Amino acid sequence: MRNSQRTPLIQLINISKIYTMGDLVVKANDNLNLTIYSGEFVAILGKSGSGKSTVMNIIGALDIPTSGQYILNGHDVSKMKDDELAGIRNKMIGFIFQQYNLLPKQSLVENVELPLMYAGVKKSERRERALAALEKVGLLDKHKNKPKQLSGGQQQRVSIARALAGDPSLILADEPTGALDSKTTREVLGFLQQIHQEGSTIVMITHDNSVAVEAERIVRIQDGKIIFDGNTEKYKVEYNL
Amino acid sequence: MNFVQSLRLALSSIVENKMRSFLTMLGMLIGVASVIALVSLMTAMSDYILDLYRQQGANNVTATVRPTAPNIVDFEYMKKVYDDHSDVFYQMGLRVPVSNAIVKKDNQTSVSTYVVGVTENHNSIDNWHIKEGGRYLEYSDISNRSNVCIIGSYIEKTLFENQNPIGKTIKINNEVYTVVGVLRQKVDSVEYGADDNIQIPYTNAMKLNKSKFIPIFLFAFHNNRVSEEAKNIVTDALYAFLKDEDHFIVRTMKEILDMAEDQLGMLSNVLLGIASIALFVAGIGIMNIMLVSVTERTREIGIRKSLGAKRADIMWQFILEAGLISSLGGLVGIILGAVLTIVIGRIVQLHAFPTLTSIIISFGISVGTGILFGFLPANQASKMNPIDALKSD
Repeated sequence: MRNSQRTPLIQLINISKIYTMGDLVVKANDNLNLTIYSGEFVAILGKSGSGKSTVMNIIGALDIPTSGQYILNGHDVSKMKDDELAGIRNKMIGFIFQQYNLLPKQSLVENVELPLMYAGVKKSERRERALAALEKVGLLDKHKNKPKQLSGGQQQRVSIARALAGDPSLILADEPTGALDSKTTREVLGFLQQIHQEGSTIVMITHDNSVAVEAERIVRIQDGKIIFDGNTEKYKVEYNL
Repeated sequence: MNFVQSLRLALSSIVENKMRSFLTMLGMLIGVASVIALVSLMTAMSDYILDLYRQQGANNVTATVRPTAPNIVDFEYMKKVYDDHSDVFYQMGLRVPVSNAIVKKDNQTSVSTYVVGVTENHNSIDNWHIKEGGRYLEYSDISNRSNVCIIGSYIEKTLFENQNPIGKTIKINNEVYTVVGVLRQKVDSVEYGADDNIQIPYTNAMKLNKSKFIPIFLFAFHNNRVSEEAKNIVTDALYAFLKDEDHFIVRTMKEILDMAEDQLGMLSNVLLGIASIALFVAGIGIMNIMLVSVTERTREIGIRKSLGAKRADIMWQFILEAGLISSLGGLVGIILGAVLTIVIGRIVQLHAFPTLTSIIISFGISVGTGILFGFLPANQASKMNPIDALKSD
């Protein structure tokens, strides 16, 4: 465990997300409580339908809970409107998606610049920071290429660069290796480890045990509830891995 | 994201899909080109026609007696009116059209010709000029009922191609008439036009009509100040004779001119209305394409929103795209419209030039249409839920 500052970055307090579809009432998240500190590397682990995507959307300020509170970096995000949420996402969160989600018609550097553009950063500074982020993931020489000219693993690295470019408080990775083969998976996970070492806070969503154990701490979700929350070693013991 | 960036984004999106963008702006292009060409040509034609009327001399009162009138208003009566008001009038004349006139030269028949009986000063009142080598009608022709005639430039062209018409004869309703003068072209020497006419002494016209009925009297007054008075004098005189307003009409050339201007204006507006429908349809086309575009780019919208794009950012992105497409279409349409105006103008021998009004209005409409019709799709895009949007492919 590192000697990082123990300030809660993320506080989920009694979070519930309830969907009503006709007669059917679904509790995607059921009174969740979770605290994540700055500098941690946490894996949120669960099967499909466990509620992990729902909690990710809430943490990522893409959605608000039906009840409960979400405090991110001291801001109560739970009742914010669309545009406010957009601002939070832009300034505080760096997303990494399973499908990379790069804009196919723009170059790599233009893709990485995107969050900075929406943040209102000036052109020259934008370009500088984007190129620096690409350098960090080892793709500076290809900055003029388009995404389709790269392999899956490389595209995911661009995704990581884009997530880093805005200097966010939190990196949120949704099944980052889901679309990659095992070799590339190890590569990307290695990158995540590296940026974690350099000080980033990472929350990674996954359904795969072998990916989850790359994190320091595992939070396991089932049927909308947290059934395990502890460090990886403890998890391995408890689940016989 | 600021305005300039949004604009650049919109522009790059248009460039990325060149064929689709072009097809989308085609409607606006055609609409704008049509508006400009139609309005400009209409304006040129209006000016031309109004000039024609003006050339007739604006200081004329035209009194038309209807055939339904119970009594025939004779020349002497109207001449007295003229003589009594020499402070107002300086000339008078009349027109006795020959009904069912058949004009023949050798074996050629001119079907359309307007044969009209006039006074010896008609060239002065109605602004005609005689070509060299000929003469106009004289008082003696009228008092003697001489079978002489003055032919218009169209008649000269069609019946006397390479000959000198002076001294030659034609037949009007089987009576032989000698040509003593040829009129210089006043307008355009075309069939049914003003130059398609033959002028004979009014006394002959009466004989050919077998009637003493004079339908049209002309009074030239000195200047604009007396125009109202002139009209009243003639009206009063005719009313005193015919006792019923329904039997005659008195108009000044100015009134005729105003009426013509109104009618041309109305026609212009109708054309503008029709062309505007085209622009509207173009707008609908743009909206449709933008809706498709938004649907296709759902994922992209989701990505942008997840990275922090606000509603307004997405809104601007798509509205500007629609606005740019239609503006570009409008610009090209203006160029095309201007070219069409000039080319068609040359073909119909009108001096036509694209009017500034039509350019400004149609460009304004094209920009406005794009923004208006882009609003719905843009709004739809801005309201998308990023989570759902990211799931689409």
